[in-house]
Amino acid sequence: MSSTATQPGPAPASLKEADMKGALVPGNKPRAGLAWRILQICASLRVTVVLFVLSFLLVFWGTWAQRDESIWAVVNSYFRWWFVWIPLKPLTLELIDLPVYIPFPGGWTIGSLLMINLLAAHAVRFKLTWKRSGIILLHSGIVLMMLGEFVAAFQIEGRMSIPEGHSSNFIESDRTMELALVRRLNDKEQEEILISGSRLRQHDGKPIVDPQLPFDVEVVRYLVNSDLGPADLVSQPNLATVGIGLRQVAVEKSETTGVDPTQAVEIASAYVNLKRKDTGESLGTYLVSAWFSYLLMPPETVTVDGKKYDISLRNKRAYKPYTIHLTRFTHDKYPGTEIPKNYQSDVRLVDPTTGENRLVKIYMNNPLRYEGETFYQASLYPMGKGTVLQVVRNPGWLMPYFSTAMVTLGMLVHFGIMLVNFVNRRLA
Amino acid sequence: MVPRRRWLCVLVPLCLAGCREDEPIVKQTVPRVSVMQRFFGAILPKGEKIWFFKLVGTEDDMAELQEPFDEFLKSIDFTDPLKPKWKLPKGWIEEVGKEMRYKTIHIGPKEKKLDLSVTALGLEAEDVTENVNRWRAQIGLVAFHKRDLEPFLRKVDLPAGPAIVVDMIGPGAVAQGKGPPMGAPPRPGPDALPFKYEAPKGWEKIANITLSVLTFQVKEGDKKARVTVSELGKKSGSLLDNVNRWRRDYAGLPEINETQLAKDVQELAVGLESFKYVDIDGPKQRILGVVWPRPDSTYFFKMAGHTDAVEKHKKNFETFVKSVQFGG
Repeated sequence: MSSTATQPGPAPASLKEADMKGALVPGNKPRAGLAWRILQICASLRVTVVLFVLSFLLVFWGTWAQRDESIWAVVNSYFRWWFVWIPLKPLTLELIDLPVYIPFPGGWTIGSLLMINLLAAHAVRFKLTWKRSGIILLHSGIVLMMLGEFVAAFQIEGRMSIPEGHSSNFIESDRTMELALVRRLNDKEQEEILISGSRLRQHDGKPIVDPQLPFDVEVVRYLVNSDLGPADLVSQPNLATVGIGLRQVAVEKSETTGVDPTQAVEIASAYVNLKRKDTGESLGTYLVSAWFSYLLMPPETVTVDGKKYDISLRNKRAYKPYTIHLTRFTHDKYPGTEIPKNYQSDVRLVDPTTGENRLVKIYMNNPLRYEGETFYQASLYPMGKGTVLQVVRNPGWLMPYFSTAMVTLGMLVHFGIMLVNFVNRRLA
Repeated sequence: MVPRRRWLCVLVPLCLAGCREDEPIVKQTVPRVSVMQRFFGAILPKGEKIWFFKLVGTEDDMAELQEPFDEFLKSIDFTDPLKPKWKLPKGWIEEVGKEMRYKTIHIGPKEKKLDLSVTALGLEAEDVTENVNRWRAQIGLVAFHKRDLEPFLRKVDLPAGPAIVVDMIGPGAVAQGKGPPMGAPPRPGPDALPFKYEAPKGWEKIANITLSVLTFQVKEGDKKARVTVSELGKKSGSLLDNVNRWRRDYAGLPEINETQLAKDVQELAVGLESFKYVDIDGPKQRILGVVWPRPDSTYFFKMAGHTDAVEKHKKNFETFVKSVQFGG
């Protein structure tokens, strides 16, 4: 690799010196070889500066994009992904609104490169000495903070809704949907075939074909956010040809953007045309809607080859090996008012895999912690007497605490050493 | 390397990384830990009467009954407006209803308690929203505004006339603050218990006494004990009140306080729940008692009698209580 590759164009003398410092640190013998050269490029302070600028731009445009998109759509497309196509609209601060997209490195790419840059800088430039201990500690804290963000991407957040006297063994995602085809096998088990909401959303007119599906699924229309209305009152054409969709029509609502002060939950609906695998014959276009799940409406049933499938659009479920049974739910109010004073869920936790079987009371500031998940008392069961528990699993929840503590300690150590050296010099 | 190519080296992997693969179709078998209640209803105005057809059961039972229920509705014949007739699907058995109920149609075996009720009320009961909300309360659902009920209502033109058909799913408990259903059957008697059970071998079912809804007599030689199941309203008193009543009236023991009660009381696990369980051995009788709270009442399972008979049947008593399954 040519020298222009490592130091393209003229650069300030200080940066050049910094880049070369690793090779010139007393005691470090100048090294040659491709690997060392690559390490030097990775450790370059110029790379650091470029990556910082890219970070600022990504955060700026990501924030601007929330005028049109929801917070989580932006988080997932801008920050928790490798690469993003940024529309011209936020790029030009809404001066130009054309369907033109500019490629840009995503949060994971910039974060990974910054991490490599930092680690390479330590390998090339920094020596493990007491004098540098504060910096090393500080940088270790930053590395941990960045790793924490990667781990946070795998955080699970959802809810568990249980009517009184019933049990639940799954957590529902707040933000992701799935089309579920459910067939009851017996009293104790059911078979589920699931198509992710993101796949429904990215429909391109071609049916979703898979050997596991009992029929092909063509997504006629997917509405990220919707409302329902009586078919005889709604003026838009009704796409459904069978089922409840003949009486109710899904009407598109705008997505909840990041700047929306209400932050209302989006309720998706879809029109799906189910087709026989062998003949391609349509079994009908069904309206499936998360509204039906929320309202506890009986699902649509489709029979193929003698097998009955309940078809529904629902919040994505994560099944657990344990069961939580709600024995009692109490909802105390302040006397003479409707103001809630206390919600409490008396539950029994049963886990056949560990033999766990105990009664637990969940109320404000007294969550249930089990198998890495925390169950907080969140709300009332909207359809009757029961509870809604907020469930959070964040394997990296301690990492921000540790990382900020390390950064603080690193700064204290570093500036402490500097202060001592300064005082010593003055005394001398 | 030329700088332009270097940028390609960066951009191409980034572009590739930017392409998200389709999430795969997932097929899984999962346990079912909760079964809801499903409700089929129909409101059919005819002349001076509003006719109500109602069928409630578990989701599983009802899934098979959707088509037969629709066929049944289509077969209703109002040639005589006060005495409608219909064609019953195979296995359905009709009997004359009691009180306000015109007919009760048993679907499958009687023990399954899967009954279609037919009730006629005057025109004062024609408000659909009110009726559907009353039905919602019966399966543990909150009342809805008229607009929100729309998705649940199906307007059907039956040969007998236009009708509103309702299909709902609910947890099954009676919602708080709701009154008894209009035209509902009388409070369940001993032949229509709201729970299933398995009586241990050797237990003899006898006539109910006082407040009990189910009574057995058990024997150990010439020593006897009696098992009763009683249902009391919400104001059935605290656990301490009941335990002291048992101690005083049955066991012949002095009353105790909360501290002593906390030491004496045990838990009996029944399925996923557990209930307060006491064993009181006094000079008069020995009592085993389980207190089983329900949303609107409390059930008391009790075995009282000679200490030898109670000792011999204690395990059977626990097995009996564990076999009890309320129907939602």
